[in-house]
Amino acid sequence: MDEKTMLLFDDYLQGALSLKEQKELEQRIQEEPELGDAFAVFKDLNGHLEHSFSKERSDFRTQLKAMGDAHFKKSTIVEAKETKVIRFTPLRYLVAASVVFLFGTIMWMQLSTPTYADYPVHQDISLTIRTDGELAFAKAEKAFNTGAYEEAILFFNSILSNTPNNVEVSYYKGIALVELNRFDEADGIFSNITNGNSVYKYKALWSQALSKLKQKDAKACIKILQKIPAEAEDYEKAQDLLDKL
Amino acid sequence: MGDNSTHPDQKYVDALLNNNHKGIAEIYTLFAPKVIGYVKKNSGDDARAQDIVQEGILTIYDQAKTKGLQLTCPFDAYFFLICKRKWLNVLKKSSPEGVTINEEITSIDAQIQFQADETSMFDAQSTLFNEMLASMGEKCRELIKLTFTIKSMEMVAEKLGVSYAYARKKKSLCVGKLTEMVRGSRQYQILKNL
Repeated sequence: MDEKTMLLFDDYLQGALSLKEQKELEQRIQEEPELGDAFAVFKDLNGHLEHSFSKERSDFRTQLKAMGDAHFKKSTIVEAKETKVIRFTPLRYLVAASVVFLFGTIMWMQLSTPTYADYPVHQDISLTIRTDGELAFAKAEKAFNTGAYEEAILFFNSILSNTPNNVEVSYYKGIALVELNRFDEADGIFSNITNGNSVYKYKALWSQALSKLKQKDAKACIKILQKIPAEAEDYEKAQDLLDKL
Repeated sequence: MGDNSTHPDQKYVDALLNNNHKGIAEIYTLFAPKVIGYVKKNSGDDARAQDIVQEGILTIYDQAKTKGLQLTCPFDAYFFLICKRKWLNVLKKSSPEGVTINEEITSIDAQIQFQADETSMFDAQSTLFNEMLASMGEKCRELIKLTFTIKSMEMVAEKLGVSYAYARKKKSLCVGKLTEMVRGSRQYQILKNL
C-alpha cells in the first residue's frame, strides 16, 4: 500500500472526502481484493486503537476490577465466616470499651471538620469522545486544566450544542459550575448523569456530594454519599467522608 | 450458521455496554463460580481464576463495543467457553509441550461453538494488533498512542512541536504502516484462512 492510499483511507474514515471521492473509493474496494483487504485491516485497526486507548474503556476496566475484587472478597469472607468467633469475657468487655472510647476521643481530637477544599479538582482532563470541532475540545481542556472555569464552560457549551449527549463534557461542566459556586445549575447536570447509565453515573454522585459539602450542607451531602455503591470508583473516598461527617 | 436471532441473554452483553452495575454483578454471581471452579481444578489458583473471569468479561465488552456483538446462545455456556479457552492458552504458554486437562467429555451446542469461535477470532485479532503495535518503531508507536489517547490532533501537534497538517499526515502513514505489518504477519494469514 503506497502513502497516497494510506492518506486516502484516513481521509475516508475522517469524513474528509467529497461524496464523489467516497463513492469512487467504495467501488474500488469492491473491485480490487488487495485494496479491499488493506482497507478492512486499516479500518479495524482504527476502531481497535480508538477503543483501546479510550478513557471510557480504561474507566470500565478499573471499575470492573473494583467490582470483581469486591465480589471475590465477599465470597472469601462468606467462606471464612464460620471459622472465626471470638468470645469476650465480661472483664474484657470493660477493657475493650475503654480502648474504643480512648481511640474515639483521640480520633475526634485529630479530625477537623472536612471541607470542599480537602478534595481538590484533579486538573488534568482529556476529553475522549470527540465529534466535530476539534478546536473547542482542545480549548475546553486547556481552560479547565488551568482553572479558567468560566472560559471552559463557554467551550463546553459550544460542544454540547452540537452533541448534547456527551456525558463526559456535561460532567466536567458540572465540576466547573461547582467551582464557580453555580450550584443549582451543577445540581441539574449531576442529577441527569446520575439517572443515566454512563460510566460517569457514580462520579456525578460524588461530585454532587462535594458540591453540598462546599455549600456546608452536611445533611444533603451525607444523603448523596450513601447512594454511592461499593463498586463505584469513589466508594472509599465517600465512606471516608461519611465517617468524618 | 444455525439460528441467528438474538438470545434473551443479550441482556448481559447490554449490561456491559451500558455499564449497568446490577447486570455486571449478576455476571459475577451467576457465571463466575463455574469458571473459577474449572481453573482451580486445572492447575490454577484463586488469583489466576479471577484474572481469567475479568479478561473474559473485558473481551466480550470489547467485542460488543467495537463489533456490535449480538448473542445468539445462552451467556452461561458461551462465557464459560471463552474463559476456558483463555485458561488453556495460559497453560499452553507456560508448558508448550502439552497440558493435561481434567475434562469431562461434553458435547457443545453448534451455536455456542460458533459464537465462541467469533469471539476467539476477535480476541486473536486484537492480540495481533497489540503485538504489532508493540513491535513498531518508537516514533510511530508513540504518535499513535498520543493521537488515540488525546484525540485532538491540534494538541498532539502542539505537544510534538509540529504543524497540524504534518501531525495528521504522519498519523495516517503510521496507521498505514501498522496495517501493512499486520497484513504481512504469519498470524494474520492464519486468521484469514480460518
